[in-house]
Amino acid sequence: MELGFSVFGCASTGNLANSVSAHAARLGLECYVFIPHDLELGKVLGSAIFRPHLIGVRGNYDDVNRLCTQIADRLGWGFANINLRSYYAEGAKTIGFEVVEQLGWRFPKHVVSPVAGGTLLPRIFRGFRELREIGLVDGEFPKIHAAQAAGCAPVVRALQQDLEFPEPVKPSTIATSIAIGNPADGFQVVRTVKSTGGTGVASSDDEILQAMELLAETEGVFTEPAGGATLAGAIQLVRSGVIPSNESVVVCITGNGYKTAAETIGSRVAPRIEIGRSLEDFEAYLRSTDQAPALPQV
Amino acid sequence: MAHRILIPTPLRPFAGKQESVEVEGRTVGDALQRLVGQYSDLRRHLYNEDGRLRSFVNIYVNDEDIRHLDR
Repeated sequence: MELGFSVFGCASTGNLANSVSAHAARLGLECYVFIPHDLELGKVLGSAIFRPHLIGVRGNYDDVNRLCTQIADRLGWGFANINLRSYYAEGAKTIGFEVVEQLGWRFPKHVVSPVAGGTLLPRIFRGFRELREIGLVDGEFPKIHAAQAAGCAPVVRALQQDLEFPEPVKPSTIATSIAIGNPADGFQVVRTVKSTGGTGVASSDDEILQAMELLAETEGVFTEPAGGATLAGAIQLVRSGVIPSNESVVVCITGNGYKTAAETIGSRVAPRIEIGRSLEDFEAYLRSTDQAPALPQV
Repeated sequence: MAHRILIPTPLRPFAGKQESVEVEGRTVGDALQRLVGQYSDLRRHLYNEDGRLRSFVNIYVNDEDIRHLDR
């Protein structure tokens, strides 16, 4: 509003659209969010509740982003991740602040971050750098590792091939939140990862699903596939010795699993058992299972 | 055959402040060469010192990124 925009919007793989829609509602701004037409229903709902103009574009995120760039040009609207991108990026660095604060004002040895458009990872590092500059933390910066899905890994490929700029790809992965084939800040990710001594790691959709299950079953955290890709990447890095198992690691889990549950992990979770309402019904169920505890004699 | 090239806002100052420019050309490469021939200030923004398109420059034919088109 201060900058003179009357309409607020974004191009999104879903999560940013939720946030932009919510903030626009709070500010009473006209809001247009643009998403790929085939996005998961949970993510669509997370925007729709705030009553934005919700535009599903027949194409992938890169098509959506290009269209929004043209709209911003033509209509002079403010897009969070296009012509307001510098503000959006400043917001992302607060994850770096939170990491250091929650570790008791220390750096971890390693950070594994998902990479989509490439905003987050370089800004986590910027957060670290700013905290060290003002003296709230000291010591060596962490190595920052970039995690992507194998079906959309332009940044990981650039790191592996020692390219300065990622070569765009056409995404094909269940991790739709990070399915950005032409990451706007990809070169900054490459530069940051290299400068901290980090690496890039890509995981298959099956590894992503397994990591989602592992995180839920061992930590009680339900993430979406983007988080699965990040944890799966971290597992690979530990197994290959890039991250020694005795060093501290922060794995950035950046999206919750409810939004994508039906389309991804829904068929792999514990089944729901239906029983009658008597104690006998429940005991009969327990006896029917292999792991039934010993029942007291009546 | 004449083609209309849409110029994004950041590059318009180097293309006579125009939103689009009409150029002839048989291929994308031809058309771009004519464009930078006409507006020489654009050249360094589109091409690197070796004369290759800069990797962060995205060129679309209609709605398709040319990287994904059949060559």
